[in-house]
Amino acid sequence: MRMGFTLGKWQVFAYVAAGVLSLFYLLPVISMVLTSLKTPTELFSAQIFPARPSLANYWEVLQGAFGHYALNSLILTVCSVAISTFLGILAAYGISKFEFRGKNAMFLSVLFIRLLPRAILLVPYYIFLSQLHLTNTFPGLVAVYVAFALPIAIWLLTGFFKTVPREIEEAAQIDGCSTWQIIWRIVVPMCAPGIAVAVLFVFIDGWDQFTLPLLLTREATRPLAVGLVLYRQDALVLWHLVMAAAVLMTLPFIVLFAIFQKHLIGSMFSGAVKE
Amino acid sequence: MTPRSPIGPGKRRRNLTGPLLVLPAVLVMMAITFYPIFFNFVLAFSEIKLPSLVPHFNGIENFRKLFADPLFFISIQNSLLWVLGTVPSQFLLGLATALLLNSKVKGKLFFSTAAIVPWAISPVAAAMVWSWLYQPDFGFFNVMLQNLGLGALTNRWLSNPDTALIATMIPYIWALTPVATFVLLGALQSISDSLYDAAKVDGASHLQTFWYVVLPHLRSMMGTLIILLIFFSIGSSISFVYPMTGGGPANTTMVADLYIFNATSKRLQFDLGAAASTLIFLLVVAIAILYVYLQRPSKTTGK
Repeated sequence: MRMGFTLGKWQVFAYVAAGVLSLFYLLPVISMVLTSLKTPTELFSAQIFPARPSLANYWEVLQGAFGHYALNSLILTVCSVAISTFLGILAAYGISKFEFRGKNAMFLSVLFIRLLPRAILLVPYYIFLSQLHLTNTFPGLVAVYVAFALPIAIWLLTGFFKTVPREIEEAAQIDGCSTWQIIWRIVVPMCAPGIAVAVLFVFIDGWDQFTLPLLLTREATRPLAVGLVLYRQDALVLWHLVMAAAVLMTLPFIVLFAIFQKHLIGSMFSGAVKE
Repeated sequence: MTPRSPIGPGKRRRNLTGPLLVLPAVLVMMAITFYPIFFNFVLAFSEIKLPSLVPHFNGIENFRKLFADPLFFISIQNSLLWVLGTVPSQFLLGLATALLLNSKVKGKLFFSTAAIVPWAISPVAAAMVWSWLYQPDFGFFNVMLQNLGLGALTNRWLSNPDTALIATMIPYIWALTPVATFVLLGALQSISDSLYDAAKVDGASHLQTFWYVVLPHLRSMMGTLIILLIFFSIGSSISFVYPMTGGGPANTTMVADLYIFNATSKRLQFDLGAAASTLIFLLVVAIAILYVYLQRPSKTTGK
C-alpha cells in the first residue's frame, strides 16, 4: 500500500485542513439526517439535536406519494440498466477485441455523447415524445434514460474487457467455443467486478435523472428526483418531510456502496496497477 | 456465428463478428441520440408548427430572435460566471483532499468516506438540503451566525440578488468535488515512493518536492480533468438552480440550460430552445477542439 507524502512540520496544518474539509463534506448530510428526525415544531427551535429522535417523518413520507415515485425511479432505472448493460457488453466486447472500419469513430462518438450538454436534447425529445404520445410512459422514458446510460456502459466496459488476456479467449476458441459463449461464459464472469462497477455508475445516473423527467413526465411516471422538488411548490415547505425523503432517496447508494466498498475503496487506493 | 479466421498474432479477425456485436448499440444510439441531435440542428434554422413534424427552413431568424432576448444574454453571463466560479473551486478542493489522502495522515478511511459522501447524494437531494441550510430563519448558517454573535452577517441567501448565484454554486461545488478528488488521487498514487525518497536525499523541502516531483505527474491529468469539469458545469447547473431558486431572484441565477428548459417547457418556444442549445453545443465543440489542440504532443518534451 502506498504511503505517499510524509508530512513533517506540515502535520498540524494537514490535520486541520482534513478536519475542515471533512466538516464541509459532512455538514449537509448530518443536517439532513438530524432534521429528518425532528418534529415540525423543533424545526423552529434552532436546536441542533432533536429532543426525541423519531422516525415519524419517515412513516409520513412513505405513506404519501413517495412510494409511488420511488417505484417509478426503480422501474425506469432498472430497465435502463438492464438494456444498456446488455447492449454495452456486446458493443464493448466488439470494440475491445476486434478491428473493423469505423471502430474508432464509434468509440469517439460514445465519448462525445457523454460530454454533451443535456440541453441539446430537450427540444427534440419534447417534440418527439409528445408527438409519439410517449410522454409520461415508461417505454418513452426508458428510451431517454438509455440514451444516457448506454455511453457510460460502453465506455466503462470497454476498459474492463481490454484487461482480459487474449490467451484465455484463444484457448476457448480452440476448444470450439463460439463468440457468444466466450462473451457470456468466460469474459463476463471474469470481469464481474468491472461489470458491477459499470452497473453501479449507470444506476446512479438513472436514479439521479432530473431535467428530462422534469420535462417529460407527469404524475404517473414521475421519478423520485422530480417528486422531491415538488415538496417545494407549496408556500410552506415541510422541511422535516423533505429531509426524510432525501435520506430515503439516498438509501440505495448506501446499500450499494456497502456492497461494493471493497472493490471501490480497494481500486481507489491501489492505484492504476492491475495484474 | 459467422466463421472465424484462423487465430493469428494480433486481434485482427476479418469477419463480421465485430461489427455485428456493436450494431445493436449503434442502432440504438443512432435512434435516440444522434438523430435527435441532428433534428435539433435542423430546428435551430427552421420553424415548426406542431402537430406537423415538418420543419420549414427560415435561415437565421431564430438566432435573430434569440439575440433580441435580453434574458438570453443574462443566462450566458450567469453560466460563464458559474463555470469560472465552480471549476477552479472544485479543482482546488479536490487537489487539497487528494493530497491529504495521499499523505501519511491518520484516519484515511474516515476522511475518504467523507470525501465521497457528496457524490453519493443525488444532485436534487443536495440542492434541497442546502436550501434548508440557507433557510433565512431556521437554517443552519443563519442560526450559527446568530449564536456566534455575528447576527449582522445573516442573509436571505437564496432570495438576495447579490448572493443567490454564489449560494447556488456552492452546493454544486460540494457535490462534484469528489470527481476531482478521486481523479487526482489516482494520478497522485502513480507517483512511486522512490521519487519522494530521491527528492529527500537531494535535500528538497516539502514545497520543492511538490513543485518538482508531484506537479509534473499531474500535468497531463489536470488538463483532462479541467475539461471534464467545464463540460459538466455547462450542462448540469440546472439540477441545482431549478430546485433552489428557479432562476430568480430577478434572474440572477438564470443559467443557460435553465433558459433553454424554460423556453422549451414553459413557453414552447422550440425555435429559441433549439437555437440556444445549438450555440451551447458549438461552444462545447470549440472547447473540445481547443483542448485537443493544446494536448497535442510537444516536440520538445515529448509528453
